[in-house]
Amino acid sequence: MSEAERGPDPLLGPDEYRRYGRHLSIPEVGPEGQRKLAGSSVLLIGAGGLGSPAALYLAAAGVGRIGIVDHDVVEISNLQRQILHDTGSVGRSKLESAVERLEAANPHVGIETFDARLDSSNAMEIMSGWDIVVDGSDNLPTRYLVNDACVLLGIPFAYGAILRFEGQASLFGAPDGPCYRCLFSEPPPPGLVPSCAEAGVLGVLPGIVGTIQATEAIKWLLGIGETLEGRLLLIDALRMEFRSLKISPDPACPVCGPDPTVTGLIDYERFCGHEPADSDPRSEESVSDLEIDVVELKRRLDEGEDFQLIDVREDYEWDICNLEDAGARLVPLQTLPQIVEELDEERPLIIHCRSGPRGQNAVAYLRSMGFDGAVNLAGGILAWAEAYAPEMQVY
Amino acid sequence: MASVSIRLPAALSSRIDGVSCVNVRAASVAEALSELGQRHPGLTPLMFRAPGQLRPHVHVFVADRQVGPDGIDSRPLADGDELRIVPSIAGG
Repeated sequence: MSEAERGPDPLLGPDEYRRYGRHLSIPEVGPEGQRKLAGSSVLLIGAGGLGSPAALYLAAAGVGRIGIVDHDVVEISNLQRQILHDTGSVGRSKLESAVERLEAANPHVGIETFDARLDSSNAMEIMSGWDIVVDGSDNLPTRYLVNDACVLLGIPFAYGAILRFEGQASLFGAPDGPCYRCLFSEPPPPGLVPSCAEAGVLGVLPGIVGTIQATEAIKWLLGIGETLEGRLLLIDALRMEFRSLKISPDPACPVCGPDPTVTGLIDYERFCGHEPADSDPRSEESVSDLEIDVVELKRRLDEGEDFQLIDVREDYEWDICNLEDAGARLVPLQTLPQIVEELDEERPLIIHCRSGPRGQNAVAYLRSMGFDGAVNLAGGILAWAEAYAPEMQVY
Repeated sequence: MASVSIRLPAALSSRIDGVSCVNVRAASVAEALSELGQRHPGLTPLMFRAPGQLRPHVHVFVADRQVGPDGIDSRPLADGDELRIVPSIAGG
């Protein structure tokens, strides 16, 4: 935009004065705050449930530069909550879909995209130079990665997490406040905390939590109000209760404490899954030792081999489709510890879920409990349906 | 002994048929959690890594303040106190 088009204000053009009129009327924002937003930058980790509303509102609010990190394509099951994307976007890159939507929402905002899965090799480069990060990731390794990178780079991040009807939000990594590791020093063993894919999530919930994250980001950028620094906000949409819990920096925090032991990024997949701190680390196991494919399962069934087939999905998923005819028994992942003593150590164990990840967690847990021959069905019941049961209702 | 309530998050209540609040009588946080475990044994492996030792991703708050590991045994409870169990969740 030329100087003539922009008018006398170097950051806000005439059209933007009209666009942001309701902001300009708020004393805490006003023209000066709006210019601050126009000169600010926010990096969104993920363009999913939380990232969608956060991105839309940050763009609408006039944050000058918005970055988005994502590597997924839009699936139809995303559309119940990921409002950046629509039915016509299914199968397309989430980044492409997000850019179209955000540019339509506010052409004055610069959108930068990072088509990558955030990991230790790229995080510092991608995350450098932003004023604040909004964490909309959907897994624990990325959450610890985002935390550590933000602390190391000195960037705060608006945290949000969701499950079923419940959410959490905070502002971590501010100069004198706690970081995520101050609160959750170690991740749970694999499979102990369900994901939204396993336990479900109300589609509206990320709308609530993601907009709280966007609000925290805007307050931080403007330097107004009281942020969630030092507080963990619990959101219970079923009761419509909001509770603010006090949290403090941990003097022994390995990342932000006075004597840090984590001074660079680590292998977060390993940190969160493959070597849980309270179980014996297993090593030297290749994926092929841990999984069988559907062809092998079919062979074993056809030859009448004796084994235990355990479905670690949830009850409602079992009701949609199951392998009961093949002898499957339903044991939702989180209940495995309760029935593990009932399992027959002498009979091989084959685990399956919908598409594979929960089965992998179950196998890791069972092997840590001494069931050394437990294997996961690669691709889960979806792979089985595709290969042998095209009539099966899948989801 | 104080009459207290324990509020459970979905990550735990989903494991005990949706029970999200358990009322117990207890003098300390440790006693309250012990009583919770006796009534709902399925929660114990999800919350504790060893007897009396909460997993690092599970926290207890009383009156909206965090009870650290040292306070589990010593934090006294009063009638009407509400304990909140807060685990890490990852969904986004």
